[in-house]
Amino acid sequence: MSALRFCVLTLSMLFAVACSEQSSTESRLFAGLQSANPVPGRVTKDCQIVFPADHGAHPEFAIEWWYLTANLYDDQGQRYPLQWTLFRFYNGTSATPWSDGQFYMAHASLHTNESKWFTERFARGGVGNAGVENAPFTAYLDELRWQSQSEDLFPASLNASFENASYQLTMQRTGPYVLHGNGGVSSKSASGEQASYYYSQPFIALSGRIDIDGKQIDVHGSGWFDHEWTSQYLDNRTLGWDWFSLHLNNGDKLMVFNMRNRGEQQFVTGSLITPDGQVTPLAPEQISIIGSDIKTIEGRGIPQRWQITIPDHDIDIRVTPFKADQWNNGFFSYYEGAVDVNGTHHGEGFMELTGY
Amino acid sequence: MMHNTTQFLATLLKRYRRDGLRLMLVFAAVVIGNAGLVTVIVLNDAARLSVEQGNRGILSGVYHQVVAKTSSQPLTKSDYATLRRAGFEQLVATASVRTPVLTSEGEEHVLSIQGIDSSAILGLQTSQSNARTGADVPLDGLLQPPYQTYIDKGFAKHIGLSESALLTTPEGKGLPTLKVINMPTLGRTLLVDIAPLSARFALSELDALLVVSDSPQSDISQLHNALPSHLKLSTLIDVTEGQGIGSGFELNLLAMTLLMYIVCLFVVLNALQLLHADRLPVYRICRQLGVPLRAIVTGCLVELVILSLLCALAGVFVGVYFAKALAPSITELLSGLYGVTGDLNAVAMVPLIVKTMLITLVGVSIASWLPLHGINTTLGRLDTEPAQQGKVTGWLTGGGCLLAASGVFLMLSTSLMISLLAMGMLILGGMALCIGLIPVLLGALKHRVNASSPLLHWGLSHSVKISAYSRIAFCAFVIAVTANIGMNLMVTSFRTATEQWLEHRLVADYYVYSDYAGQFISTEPAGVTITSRKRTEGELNSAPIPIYSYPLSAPFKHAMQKSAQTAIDWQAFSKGTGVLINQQLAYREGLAEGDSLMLTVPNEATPTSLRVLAVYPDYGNPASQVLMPDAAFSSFEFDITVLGITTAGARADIEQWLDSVGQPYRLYDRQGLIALSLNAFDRTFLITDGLNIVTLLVATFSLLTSLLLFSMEDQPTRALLRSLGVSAKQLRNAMLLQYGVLCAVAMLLALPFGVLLSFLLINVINVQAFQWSYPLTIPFSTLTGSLLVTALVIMLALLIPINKLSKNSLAEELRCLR
Repeated sequence: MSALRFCVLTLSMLFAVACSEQSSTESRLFAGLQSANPVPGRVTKDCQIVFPADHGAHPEFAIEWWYLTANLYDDQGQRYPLQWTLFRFYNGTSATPWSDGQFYMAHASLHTNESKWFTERFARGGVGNAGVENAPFTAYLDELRWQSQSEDLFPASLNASFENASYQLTMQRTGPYVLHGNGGVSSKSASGEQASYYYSQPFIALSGRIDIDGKQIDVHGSGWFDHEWTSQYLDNRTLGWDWFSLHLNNGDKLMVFNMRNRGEQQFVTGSLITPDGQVTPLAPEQISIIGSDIKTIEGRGIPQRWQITIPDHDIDIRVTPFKADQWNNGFFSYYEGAVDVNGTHHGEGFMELTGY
Repeated sequence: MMHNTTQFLATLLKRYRRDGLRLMLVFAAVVIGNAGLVTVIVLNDAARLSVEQGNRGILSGVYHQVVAKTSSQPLTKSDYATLRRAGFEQLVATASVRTPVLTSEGEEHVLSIQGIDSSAILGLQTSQSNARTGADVPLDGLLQPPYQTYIDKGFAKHIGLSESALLTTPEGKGLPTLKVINMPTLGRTLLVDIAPLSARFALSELDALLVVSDSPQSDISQLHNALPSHLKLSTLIDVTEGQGIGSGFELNLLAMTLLMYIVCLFVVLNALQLLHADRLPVYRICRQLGVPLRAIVTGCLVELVILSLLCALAGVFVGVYFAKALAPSITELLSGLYGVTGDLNAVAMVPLIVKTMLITLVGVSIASWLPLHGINTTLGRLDTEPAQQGKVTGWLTGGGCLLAASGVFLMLSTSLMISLLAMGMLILGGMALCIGLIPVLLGALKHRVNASSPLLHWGLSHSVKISAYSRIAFCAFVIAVTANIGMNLMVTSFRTATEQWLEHRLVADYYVYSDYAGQFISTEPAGVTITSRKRTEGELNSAPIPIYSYPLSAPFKHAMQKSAQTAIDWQAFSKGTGVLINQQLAYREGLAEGDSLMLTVPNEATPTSLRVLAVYPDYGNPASQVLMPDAAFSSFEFDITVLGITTAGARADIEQWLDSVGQPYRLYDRQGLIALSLNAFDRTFLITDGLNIVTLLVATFSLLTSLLLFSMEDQPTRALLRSLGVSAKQLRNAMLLQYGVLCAVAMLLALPFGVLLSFLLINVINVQAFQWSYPLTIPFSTLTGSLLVTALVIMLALLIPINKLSKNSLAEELRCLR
């Protein structure tokens, strides 16, 4: 879900013109040269998510992403949080030899206690260096690649490289996929006008190798994967959001987010997932998310301590970052970082903070 | 001390009205010198920047590119995707078309349009590695619809296109709306995203994959190793210390800057000498009144620094004004020659003022050392007449030493900078010899003049005194005349050689330039013979080298023989056992006719030993080149971009045939092509010619002023002569004769040094800088033209004041004797 909000901004910056104003100038100029643009798909409540077909791309929708975060450890217990994300945007143009009407952006990051690496890539679909394929499932942009062995997402390999660092991992799923919201239709606002198709795979075991400055490190750990697609954007009242995906020590998984809107109450929702994959949707009135301990990171005040309370499920936890600086500094900048959980439960996970 | 200095400065200030002309001379020298320098600096910077930008291409940080080895297996989108998937995210795909386009008013332009993968640039711009600088392309009109076509504002203005103009091809394909941006690196190329370009033109091939990296020395070995067999890495021109016409132009401007600077130094020195000579009685009185010598020297220095800085400031504005006035023609020149559009109006004033003031301070400090040192020594002496003989010997000895040192440097020099230094020493040595020889020659001339012509005798005798008085001005004048002759001869020789070379090498009646030249072959009508210029790439000493075809028909053989000025073994050439190489390759590899080179031709794994049959001139080409017979290309992959057409038919028939092929082309007839080339040549050197003349005028101005001041001070002599019965007319003629002889002697002495300078510029500097040379030609007209124009300017300028002086009545002349 967090990525949705993030991408809404992305989309509005990159392709708002493409989709909303599709340019009368362009039409006038090149009438006859381009075919009519397809209308982006809409999220409806009666549509069912079907696997493995829905692991693939939904090019008729405006935006979509495959978003993986993981906390890995080496044999000495040194922690290596990482992110791997592929975004797809419908860019409103008809197909040409150098564009299939889709635009891709990839983000990958890797952290140690002392260092961080982040890379951001862009490519058009139809060129051959970015895309999503179904059989076997493959998502890639340049050498950033998720390569599955089948139409399912797992087992798969995951690769990313940075200046002086890289990771090559294998991924297995150890539990079922989880549909958020109402059968995978996830509301993003109190009115329900904004929504997305959203499912996760919070049961992922990763292992493999990280290469840092020529030094090879064997790692293993757990990850969280989100796949989401929509055409319904947030409006310009959206100030930002705080999103959490947490692995709790009792085996539960918790996803909660907090939308911050100008002049409106925060919209908070989430899902509590049992170790066997049973999902309990969390209503806004059930959740409290409060940020504190603001620190300046990259010139912005970022809350570093979060109190998440879900009394109905006896959850009262403090979420604190693995380290302060986990800011992704790219064309679109945001905080995406590993966290530790303490309180009624212990654990770890990731949080994404935008709009600061 | 402070008080004394202030008092002394106050005294000088009160004398300003009396110092008038001499002070004006110092002011004018500094202002003119600075104006000239600033003009050259601004032009030079703008030209260099433009050419650098033109060489650099659209993206900064690009020093290499991936290209196809041959046209038969081109670079494709698939290659790009494969390499990027392999992790080479620093690659940016480019493709281009050259096509006629129509404006909405129906005006036609043939334009190059470059398509670029803007999504790759976006990734580079946001990369964490800030050192990567593929970041100077604004992406707002490239990334997303509505797409835009970028055009540099300089080029847009040049061809009269404005923002939002709509351009369509003759086939009705519309380009994205025009967006005028300030991006000189675009030059004459339009930029658009590769997606809309490929949508409008069926582009199946890419031009290149630009490699964006931190520096030219970045390790690209991984990329090199990952390339498939049909692709190769090539280096862009700015990595190899660009040695094209642009560098030649820059070197020429730099040489002119240095010359102008040296001449201005002497002009300032001359002005200061005259000023201090006039003020000497004041300095003496001040000393007698107890003002310390140190306070006098400090006061003079403070005065000079203040005046210099004020004049430098004025000079900057005058220089910028002139540079801006020249801007349109310079922009036109740069645009026409190098395909770049420099913005000469974008002058950063503060750095320019700081730079100029620093240069002025250094220059004035050097120039003032001698006059201030003179104050120091002459104040203690009653006799202010120089020891003429000792001075002459000093000048001759100094000049001889400088010339000898220059010769040694030139013989041992292996670097361009040392050779340039040696050239500077040569000019200064020549100047010193001239200054030393002027009184000697005038003395000898005086002895040959019959004593029965007393006025003439006096005139020549008096010339020696004038030459001593105006020695420094003569220094500047001799340098300027030497440089003028040297540069004129060099440019004339270059032009003559270029013209002859063009006449020899252009054999066909018409030439067709087209990216689709191959499509014109085999469609030619009856009576038309086509000669294609095929190009492929071989390898010599592990470096790529272009190989071109050369026809074996009689006219072409004859042309090459005349151009290379040697008898060529055409049998060995046609058998493929020998090759023709250009001068650039010969100099770089130390090859001469009869030597062998190991050339790896396409499709061969090992090099073949080939004999050098001839070395031919190839003016203006920065690259090495090998010529092989047409037949050899039957087993090579090659490109054709130029066709020679021999026909008895009319131009209209040729155009009709070419039009029928339906591809863009440019057609030139032989004479038209020669005229075009020479026109480009003339325009290139127009600027340096202008600067050359300005330098000469500055030096002449200095000399004239010096002579006039002397005339004013020499009124007692004239009064004496008039009282002895010499008429005003006779006196005027005698004075004109004096100055005429002086200038003539100076120019004649500068002549051999000018010729020597030209010879060395062609055979040492040009070879070291560009690896080619041309024969020195010394046309009588060029020599006499330079000298006569200079003499005429001086005499005309002198005529007015001398005429005025000579019209003084006897009573007025005698007034000074009271």
